[in-house]
Amino acid sequence: MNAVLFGVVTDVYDDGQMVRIEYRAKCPCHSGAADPTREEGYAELAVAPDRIQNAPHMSMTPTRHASVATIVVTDGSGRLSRTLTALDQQVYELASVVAVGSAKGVRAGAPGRSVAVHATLREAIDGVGPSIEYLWIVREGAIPRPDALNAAVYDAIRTEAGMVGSKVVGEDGTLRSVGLVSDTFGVPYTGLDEFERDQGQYDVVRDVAALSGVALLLRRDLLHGLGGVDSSLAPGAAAIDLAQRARLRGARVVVSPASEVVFDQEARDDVRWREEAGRIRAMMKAYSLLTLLWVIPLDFFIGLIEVIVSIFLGRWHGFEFAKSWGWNVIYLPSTLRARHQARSGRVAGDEQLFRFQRRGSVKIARLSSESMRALRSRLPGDERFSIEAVGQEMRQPAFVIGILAVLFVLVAARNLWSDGFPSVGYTLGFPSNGWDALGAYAGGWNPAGLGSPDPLRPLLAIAGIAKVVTANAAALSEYLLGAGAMLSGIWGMMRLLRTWSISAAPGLIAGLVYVAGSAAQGIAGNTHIGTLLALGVLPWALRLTLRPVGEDGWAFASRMAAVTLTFGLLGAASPLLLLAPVPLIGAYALIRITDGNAWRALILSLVGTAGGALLLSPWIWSADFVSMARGGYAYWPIPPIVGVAGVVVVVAAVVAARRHLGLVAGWAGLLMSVGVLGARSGEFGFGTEFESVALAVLSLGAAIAVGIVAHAVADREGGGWRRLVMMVGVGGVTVLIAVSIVIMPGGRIGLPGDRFDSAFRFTLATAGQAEQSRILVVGPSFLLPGDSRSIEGGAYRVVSAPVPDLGEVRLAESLAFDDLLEEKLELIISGETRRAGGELALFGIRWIVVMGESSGPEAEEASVAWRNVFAGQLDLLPLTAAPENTVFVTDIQPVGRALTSAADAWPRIGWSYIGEPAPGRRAFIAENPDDGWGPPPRLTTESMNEISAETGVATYTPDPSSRTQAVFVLVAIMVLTGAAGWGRRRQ
Amino acid sequence: MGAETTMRRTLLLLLAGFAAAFGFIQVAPPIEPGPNFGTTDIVVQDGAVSSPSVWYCPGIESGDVVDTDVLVVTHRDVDVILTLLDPVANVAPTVDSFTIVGPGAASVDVGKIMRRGESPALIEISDGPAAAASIAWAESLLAGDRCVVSVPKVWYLTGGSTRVGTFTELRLFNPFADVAEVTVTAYSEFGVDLVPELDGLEVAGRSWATIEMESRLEFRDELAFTVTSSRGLVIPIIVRTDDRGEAIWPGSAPSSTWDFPIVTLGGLEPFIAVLSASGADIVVSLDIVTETGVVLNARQITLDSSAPALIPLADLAAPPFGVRLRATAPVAASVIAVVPVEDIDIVDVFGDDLGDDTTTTEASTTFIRGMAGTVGIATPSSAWIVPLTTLPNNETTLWVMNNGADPVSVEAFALGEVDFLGVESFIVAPGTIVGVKVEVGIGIYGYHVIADGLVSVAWEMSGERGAVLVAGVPASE
Repeated sequence: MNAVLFGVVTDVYDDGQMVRIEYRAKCPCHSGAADPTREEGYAELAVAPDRIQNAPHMSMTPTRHASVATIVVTDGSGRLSRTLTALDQQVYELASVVAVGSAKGVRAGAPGRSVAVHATLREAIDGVGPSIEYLWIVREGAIPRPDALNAAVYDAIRTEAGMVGSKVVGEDGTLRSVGLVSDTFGVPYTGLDEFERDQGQYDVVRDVAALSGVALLLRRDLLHGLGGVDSSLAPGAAAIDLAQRARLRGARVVVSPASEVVFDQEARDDVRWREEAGRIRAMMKAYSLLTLLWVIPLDFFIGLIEVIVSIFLGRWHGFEFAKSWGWNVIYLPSTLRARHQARSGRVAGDEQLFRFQRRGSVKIARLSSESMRALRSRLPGDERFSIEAVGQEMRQPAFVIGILAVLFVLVAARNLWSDGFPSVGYTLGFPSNGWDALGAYAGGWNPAGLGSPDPLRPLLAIAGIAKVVTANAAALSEYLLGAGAMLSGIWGMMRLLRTWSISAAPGLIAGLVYVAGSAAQGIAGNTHIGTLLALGVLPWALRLTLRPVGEDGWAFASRMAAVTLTFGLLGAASPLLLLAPVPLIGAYALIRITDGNAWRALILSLVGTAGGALLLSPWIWSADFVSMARGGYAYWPIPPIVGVAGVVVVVAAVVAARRHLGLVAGWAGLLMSVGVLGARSGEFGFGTEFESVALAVLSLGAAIAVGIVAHAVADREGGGWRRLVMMVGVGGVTVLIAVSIVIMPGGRIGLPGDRFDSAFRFTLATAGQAEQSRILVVGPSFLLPGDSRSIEGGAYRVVSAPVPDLGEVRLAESLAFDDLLEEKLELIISGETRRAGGELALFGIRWIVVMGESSGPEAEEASVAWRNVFAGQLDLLPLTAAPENTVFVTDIQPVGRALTSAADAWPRIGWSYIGEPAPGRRAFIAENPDDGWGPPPRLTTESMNEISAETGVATYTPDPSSRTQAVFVLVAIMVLTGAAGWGRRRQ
Repeated sequence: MGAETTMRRTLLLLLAGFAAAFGFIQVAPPIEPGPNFGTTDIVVQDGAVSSPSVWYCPGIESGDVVDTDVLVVTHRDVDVILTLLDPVANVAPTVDSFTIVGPGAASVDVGKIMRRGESPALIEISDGPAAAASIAWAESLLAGDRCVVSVPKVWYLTGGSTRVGTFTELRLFNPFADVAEVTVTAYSEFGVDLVPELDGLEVAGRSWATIEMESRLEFRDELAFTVTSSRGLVIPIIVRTDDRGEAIWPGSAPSSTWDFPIVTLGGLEPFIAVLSASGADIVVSLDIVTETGVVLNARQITLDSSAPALIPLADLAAPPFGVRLRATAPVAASVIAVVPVEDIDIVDVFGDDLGDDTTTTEASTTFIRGMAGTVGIATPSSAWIVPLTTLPNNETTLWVMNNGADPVSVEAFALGEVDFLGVESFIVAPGTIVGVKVEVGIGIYGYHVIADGLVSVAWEMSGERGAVLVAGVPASE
């Protein structure tokens, strides 16, 4: 056996006459090669004392040098000469030095030096002779310390590592890399703080997930066995890929801190997508299929989150995200081949890779950190975050109140986390699939009642986006929007009050009253979830318009974009509220008649209203604001104590506030009184939605007045009678705060408890029936879901089982099928038929739920009347004897929203009906007749749809015009977001 | 500047105060009345309409002695589904279906479908005008009336009694699936008779409850009831029996006028039982309508609000005659015909001396069997559907009453399973009644009566088996 024996002095015994030499006898093969064999041992040899007296100062170089070839990877940065000079100074003898790059570039980078040049790294590696044991790959610009290679070789031999990386430091002594830890997704993590200096704190040889590609020592045979470096990858990704492949072959990957390299080049931004793409490819090459099954989708999802969150941090990674995944799709065949090569002959599994990886996602952690940093930079004041500022703020009431505000929101919204929005009144859960909701908004089918082609409200689009972003999580989207709107409302109010130099603490108090006060509770009580969410946007809309505009034209354009976006969001959440800012700011401008900013704000609000309205396409073109404002009866019963407290606060603010704040308080008082009037304007024909909008205005006015009083007291403005009046005002503020706190026990941001989920869940008792059927809900109109229709004074409406979602809240205009239902109900009510089940089966109605108590002393008159109607039917069976929410189920079979001519019912899945294909048969879709229903051949009957059952699918073809408009809106939102973000960055 | 600001503030405050005050004085929305549909508090007169209908027949019974004929008459071709409830809970009802070619009539012998005693039924007829009736019969029994089609929340039933030898039952039929909760209020000559157990009585879905009154309200000469549903619906009938016969009739409507085209049959003594539905001191007048003319105000009484009245008729005219009841306010009314008291052997059941004033009469030479009762007709009509039947040894007569001022030409089409079985054309003079004998044994199961004026129609059957009085059903055509 041709073995090589080499060893190192590992210990010098105390007597100074013995040394311990560890040795290894090796064949030319190593771990990672085809047949690694070795023999290890140690020997204790006697030596003359005079020969080892300087042992600690002796070179640690083994008596036999392992031959090392150096490859310098050039990048045209013109620093090759420095690198070559550093290589010349290595105490470890180099067998050869070659450069990778263009010959011209190398000559230019190292004038007067004679260096062998290879065009690619692979050529350079292949050009190394078999006598070479190690390859040292160094990037251009790296300046290895003289003993860097020596230390690397020593640690490579001592630890039997296949790959050894150097510690990388900047010229200023800051640490750049001491090996890399990656997460499961291959995202590198140095673990170093920014500007962390090298003080020897990491000087331990240790196994790492990957190594920096700045200076890398590899066993030549290992590299050869691995097939070299993946040249298609960016440097960072290539280093991780190489390390992972080496580890699969059983090789150790270690960092040698004693091997120090100075390197200062920053990563180039233009290759970020290549790094991302390479990282994905590296995962696909290294991991088992089982691991890839969850890693790849999760990585995609995390990337999506990064794209979205980065927008708020002023970055846009959408294109990089798309390019990186697109690249991988294109290169998938190549990746599969590389994967085959990487995993052939492996001696370790995924668990070996996981050992050196960080738990969780580096990207998510990084985003969280950046988000928090961005948030801290804005809270509680305008000052930038700093330790000093933290200390200062923590001593301020604002900080304490800020924490309390966050805690308040967390407590006030806690039940949304587990249950989402309660199903009650106009508040219904978000659709289970966000894409379906978005598709429905963009020209799809309106599922409310018996369906309609009328556009859905934009709130559904918001819900759809929230669902998509949260990967259709059950309640997360609703929690994020509910709690987020509340926080945004508090924060926005704080920022709005800064317009008048009102500090953070009063702003936070005002925010609390704004989002949770009696008026906000009134909105929640009306269950107008859109207006409740819009509370989180309204102060921002006002702030963006009232804030002084800079001289810079670009800044103005950016502001316009931000205003348009904000108004659009406001209108999407609550269309009527979109019309509020113009009169509000108009009144403000009149009050502050000499304030140019106020008039500019009016112009901005006009532009914002117009632009925001356009963003509500396609819905806006069919919107009827008059009927929207007149549905129901606006009457908000004012709690007497709240009324008195409100008057006290307003009077105190107007009378005692100094300077311009008095006028602002007057404006706030005007808003409050107009809000009160609007919220009780049922006598003038206004309805509940108008009432909610009026309450939002009232809440805004009250919050501003509260902020002014709190500010005046905190700033100890004036004295004498002013102070006395303000103290009385503080009493009113205290009452308003106390009233705001009452929403906390419910934990639903003030919304009432669930009504429909508990009432309709029974429909799931028999598997499959709920998806095939509808529920006829009757009773007092205020107990029914969303809009309702009326027949002979009795309210009714049809909803999907098991529980209707937000898409079904608003009923469209009555169409033929709705009219037929009304006729059937008339027939049933008049007693002309006693087979209501059979009559209603035509509409896919399987169950009838009489909301409210229909017997006993608490019985609702309407509930009793309806119950008596359905109690007198021959083909309806009562499901419950309870007096509340009585349920009847039809005795008729089959019942289905989509029935084939073979009487098979197709379940509703998403926004379509999907069932068993029935060649040659037809399917009857119990929706209002519309040509959009297919597939053809179709026959639109007078009252419903009859289509082919050939494919087993019944879908609605979206209105192309509406869809085009929706796409344009999407593009406009992206452009406006970019413009607004870009403007902010410029500022 | 300061003064201007102060002025502006004051102005704003005033403006805000004015708007707020205006808001404060706004009123809450008026409380909207709830819907009132589906069922009415007051019964609607049964009628045969030109649409599908469901008829409820609580009086069906079929056992080893008693049999019941279900009679259906229709103008159009119809499919009929007869659903007979089972007395055992949760057992599927017995369903029979058949077709009638209209205009036509059919009779279904329930005994051929099932024999399990009481078995209320519902009859679904796919088109109209159509009507149904049920007649129970046995060797010595004849009872029945038309079925009902409207299902109100409040029913009025008059003509009951628990005098010695007489028994009264209420049968509450709930054909629907939902549980019904009803309150039965009893009225007797003593006024309102409180029976706590009949308050909030539950009748399970698709079942019936029979309430026997003997044990609850003993020795009442006159009994009347209201049945009020607080939840669900029931169809009640009253079943009155004595040792000579049985009579069954449904609830009646409150009305200010009632027509009884015939009250005399089979030698029975007729009475009109009335109950106030609208207060006290209602003056009730009876006109006797005979084959030759009318006796206006033949009898007049003043009705108390909570006590029923039983008005004897036998002494007012010689049979046959009908009665027109007029009242100053709505009343519920029915006719009840019983064996005259002088024809009943009074038996000293207690073995006591009944005293000097107790007279024991001699048994009559002709044995009279039967008891009959029916509800009246609130509104005359020009078209009638009359489900009827004939039985051997019994005589069936169709009676038409004209209470108008002009003579009315009437055509009575006899209907059976095979088209028209004959037509009788006649004129009914003002204030008279006309009887049409129905031929027995040729398969007549109903009549379609068309007149050129408003008339009221009923039929009666009497003979060896007993007697039965049945009101006709006004048709919409």
